[in-house]
Amino acid sequence: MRADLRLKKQKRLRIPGGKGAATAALAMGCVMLAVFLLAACAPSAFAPYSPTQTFDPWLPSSSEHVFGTDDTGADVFTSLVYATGRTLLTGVASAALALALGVLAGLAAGYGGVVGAVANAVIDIFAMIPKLPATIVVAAFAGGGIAQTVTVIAVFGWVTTARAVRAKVAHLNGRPFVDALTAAGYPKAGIAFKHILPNTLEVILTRFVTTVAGCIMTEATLSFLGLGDISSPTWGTMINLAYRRGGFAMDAYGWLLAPGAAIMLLALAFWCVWYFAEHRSRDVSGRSYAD
Amino acid sequence: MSKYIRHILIALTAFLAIIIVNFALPRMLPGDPVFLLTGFDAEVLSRELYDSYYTALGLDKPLAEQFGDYLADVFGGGLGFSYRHNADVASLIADSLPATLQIVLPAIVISTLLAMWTGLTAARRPRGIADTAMTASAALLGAVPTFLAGMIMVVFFSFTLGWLPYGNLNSPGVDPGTIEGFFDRIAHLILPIATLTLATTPSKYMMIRSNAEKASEEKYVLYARSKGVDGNRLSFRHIFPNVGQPFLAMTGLNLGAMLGGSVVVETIFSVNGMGMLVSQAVGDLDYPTLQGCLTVISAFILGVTVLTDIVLILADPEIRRKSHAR
Amino acid sequence: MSKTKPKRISLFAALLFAVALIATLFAACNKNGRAKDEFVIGTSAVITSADRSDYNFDQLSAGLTQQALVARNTDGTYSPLLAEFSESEDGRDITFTVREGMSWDDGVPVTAEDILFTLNYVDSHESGNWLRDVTDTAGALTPSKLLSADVSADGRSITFRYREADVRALADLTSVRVMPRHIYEGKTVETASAAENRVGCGVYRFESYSREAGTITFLPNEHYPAEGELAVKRVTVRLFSSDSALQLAMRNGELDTVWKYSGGAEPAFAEKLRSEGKAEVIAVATDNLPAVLAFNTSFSPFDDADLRKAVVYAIDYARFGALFASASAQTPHAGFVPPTTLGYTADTPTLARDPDLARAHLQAGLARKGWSSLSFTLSVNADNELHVSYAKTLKLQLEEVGIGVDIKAMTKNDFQASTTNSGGNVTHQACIIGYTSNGMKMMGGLGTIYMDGTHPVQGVSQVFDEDFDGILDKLSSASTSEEYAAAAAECQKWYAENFPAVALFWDAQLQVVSPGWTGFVTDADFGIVNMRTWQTLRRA
Repeated sequence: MRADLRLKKQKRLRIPGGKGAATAALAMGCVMLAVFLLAACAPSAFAPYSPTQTFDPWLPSSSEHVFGTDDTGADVFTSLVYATGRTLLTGVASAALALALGVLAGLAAGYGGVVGAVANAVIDIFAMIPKLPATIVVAAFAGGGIAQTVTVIAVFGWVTTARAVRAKVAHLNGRPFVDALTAAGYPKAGIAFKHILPNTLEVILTRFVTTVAGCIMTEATLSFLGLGDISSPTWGTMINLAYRRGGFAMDAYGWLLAPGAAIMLLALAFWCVWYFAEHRSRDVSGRSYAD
Repeated sequence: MSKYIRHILIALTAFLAIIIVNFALPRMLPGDPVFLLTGFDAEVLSRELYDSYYTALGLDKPLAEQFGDYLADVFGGGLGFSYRHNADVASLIADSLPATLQIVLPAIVISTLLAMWTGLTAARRPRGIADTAMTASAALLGAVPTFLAGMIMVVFFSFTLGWLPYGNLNSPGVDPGTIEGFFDRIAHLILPIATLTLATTPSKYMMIRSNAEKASEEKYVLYARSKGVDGNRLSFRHIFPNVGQPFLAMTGLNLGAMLGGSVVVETIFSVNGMGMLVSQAVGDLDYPTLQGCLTVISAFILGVTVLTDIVLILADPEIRRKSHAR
Repeated sequence: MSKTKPKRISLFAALLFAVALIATLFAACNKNGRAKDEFVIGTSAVITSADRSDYNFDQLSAGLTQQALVARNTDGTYSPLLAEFSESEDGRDITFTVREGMSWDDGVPVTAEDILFTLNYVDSHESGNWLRDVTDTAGALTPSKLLSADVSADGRSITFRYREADVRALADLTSVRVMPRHIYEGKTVETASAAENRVGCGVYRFESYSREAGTITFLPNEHYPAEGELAVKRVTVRLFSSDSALQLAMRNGELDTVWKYSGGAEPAFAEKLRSEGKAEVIAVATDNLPAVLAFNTSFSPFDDADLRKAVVYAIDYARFGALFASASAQTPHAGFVPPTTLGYTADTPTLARDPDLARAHLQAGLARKGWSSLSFTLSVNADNELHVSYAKTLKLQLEEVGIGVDIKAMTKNDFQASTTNSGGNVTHQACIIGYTSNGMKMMGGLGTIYMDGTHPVQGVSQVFDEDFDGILDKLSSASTSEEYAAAAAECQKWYAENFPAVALFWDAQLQVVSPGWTGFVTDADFGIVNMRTWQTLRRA
């Protein structure tokens, strides 16, 4: 009974800003995401130079080179644009994998019985593990390829999704329609996938959006520490190179800060979309995307 | 009560899971376990040395026996031996932990206080100006990756303005034991602590804010308001204790996030703490050190979780009521 | 009332905070200078135990507290360090006499027994073959270098009797640092205490190590027979956790020089320091090759000589020099080894970019292979960001002539495993790698250990060629410098015709020093931090 009351209260929450703010946020977020997506698909449209063009190395920011050039003489802005695709791909792929894992775990947790208990325990255990240190250690063992990176990030990133799904499933399970279906004799698995899952889609989508942002951040941090894949650069790899090739000492602020700013803008774009979605669903879970 | 017990059990299991994973990783993943456990390159190890390490690491024993030895080692306090540093991992961590704590502990305190204050203030008038402004800033700041924040701090405060030092814990030649050394140390700590605080406050703010809002819907707030209590008094004396509970329950995880963030912060500010140890170990592929650090961090979180749960158990009015009723 | 109380408290707190902030900012502004007679060295090498058992400290101490028998000068001659030396007529004997007054910093004099002890120690604990034969993992026997090492009656001299006259005998000895027998008798470096592992006979002696402050300090060794007074009364080594911080400190004027084992400052950074007046740059001619493109000549596609040449002529050596090398850089020759190498000959052609020639070789090679295009995997050590930059630059240049490159950045272990014999099977197709001065000198010299596929440890280029084997024999059996020079010339010619590897540029090592000091002496193996520098260093 207590549980029901608490969940009911969740529904009455409001998040700051009215409808206007939410719509504005959505517009801003979508525009930014669209820009990034376009940059990923058609980099030549955005980049001022071709990626094979080289100039003098270590040039400071100027009108010809907005963020200067790096140590091999490549224009930083061009490299940034061409790395967009890889960055987004890694983020989305690991988020997708995390999503799949999280949904499965969340659904299973609502199952009841042994399966449910185990799933619940697994979710809680993974929630306890220190995310970043564990990701670092496992990534160090696993090596640097994109498959490994995506997997490692997903392995430690599915928990928030699972929790949100679990909460929603628990909420749904208390609903009469589930009782009706069970009474009518439908198998539990069938109910889970055919009826409960579709109702959790909204939660899943909102979680997905924040998970992507989180995965991109994690990937950037891993790359910054040197665990990424240098041969196909992402923004995180660029920062790592900038830092370790002496960006500070050579005053290469453009190279150092631009990729980080890009990551920030991307995370913001996702946050805007999340904000809109949360506003619409009025289902604030109290956790930020940056978990 | 059982909720807390379960929480503690989960924390224990998580810790055990990490210990098991630490054992399994070098033996499971591709790569020669001798290289993975010693961190040495193939070039350095001649056949004789390789064999001697193989035996010394116990790799010739059956797996179960290896695991038994490993457990005995870990619970005896041994965390492995770092061949790259030529020292016990435990002593390396012991040497570097103080530096990390000097950054992490103040950051925890400051970020908690800041998040509390702003979260409760924002929740007082949901969707008001203050709330929207603070939430928007929190969102913006939360989107900034830790390393970017650190780098901007360094570039702005150290290089451009020259106000604060760019790294290390003391200026060269300054003796940390003196008064001057004390202030010098604080000067060196300001930027790392600020960076870490900046990185961890936004999410705490969000959480407290939404919990506070949730709480302000409760009936007791309505009663308090109708009695004429409002403003600060309402926030801090009535809402705060109820919001504080779930927040306290999160302390273990917050600590985990802090320690994770400190890896980046210590790298940028060249602080010889545990985060830097992890960062270097990653660069050197010094697996024993990496594993040791992970174990210690997990143990830390476990300890803090258990502690806070005990505190919560003791403070939980329900439980107290129950024990009084008996 | 409830409103005023918090107000007063918060006011007080704010005041306290403000005071603390001002005090710390004040403290921060008071940047400490250094004493006039203190010399500060910065390094990013990881040093944990500051004694001989720590590899990096051991290397660093070669310039401060430990001495080898001789030192190599940049012109190729040798100078006595710990001992004077003389060769016999037939060149098979070298007699070393410990110089007058040389003493360990605990007061015990250095004798020739210490030298003998060191040879035996290296043999038994570090797989040396001074006085004993060694069987390696492949079962091959390496005979001992010396037939005997006899200590004289007065204990101050020792005579090395070589199997044959070894032209490069002294070169081998510049890195053998003599150990104190009275400390290590019956012990090893691992079993001795840290204090024991710090005893040395150099110009300075170890004073203190603070892990928290990240400093190692050295004071003059009172027992060292210095000529005149030392200008530096204290040497402080500051440990940095990253190159970034190290460079910043140098730029900030906190350091007098930067130490890196077998390396120097990066040219772009050195130039920036120099142009800002923050440092002077000393170019040290060395015989290491920091930027090498090595082919695996036993594997496709680079088992084909034309394809190798296609790559060689597609490389824009001028661009590499402009991007990564200093003003003292030179365009490499096809003979591979840099001019400071013993036996160098300038007779091999200078390498230059020639796209037409590259394409011609490419067509020839493709025709022979029956392919329509060439694309290969370029392995690089992911840990070495500089090498990654080399790889990226190379890729762009090769793509211009139509050769596809797939950069494979591998972890250190994997890289070593796939590029060297000691790691297992050499499976790379081509790799970006650096060759150290020591490695270039080993065995027959001229970097042959990196080419020879039968070398148990290296063998990066996997050469299994009869002619090359013949050259190797000539190099190791040369007993006079003329014989050696002839063999060396033959070797370089072979390189120039077969291209098992190419150097991307030849450059000197750049050492950056604060403009406040003068009198640096350059040691061909150890840079500017060496025993002789300390005795001539003066404030500028």
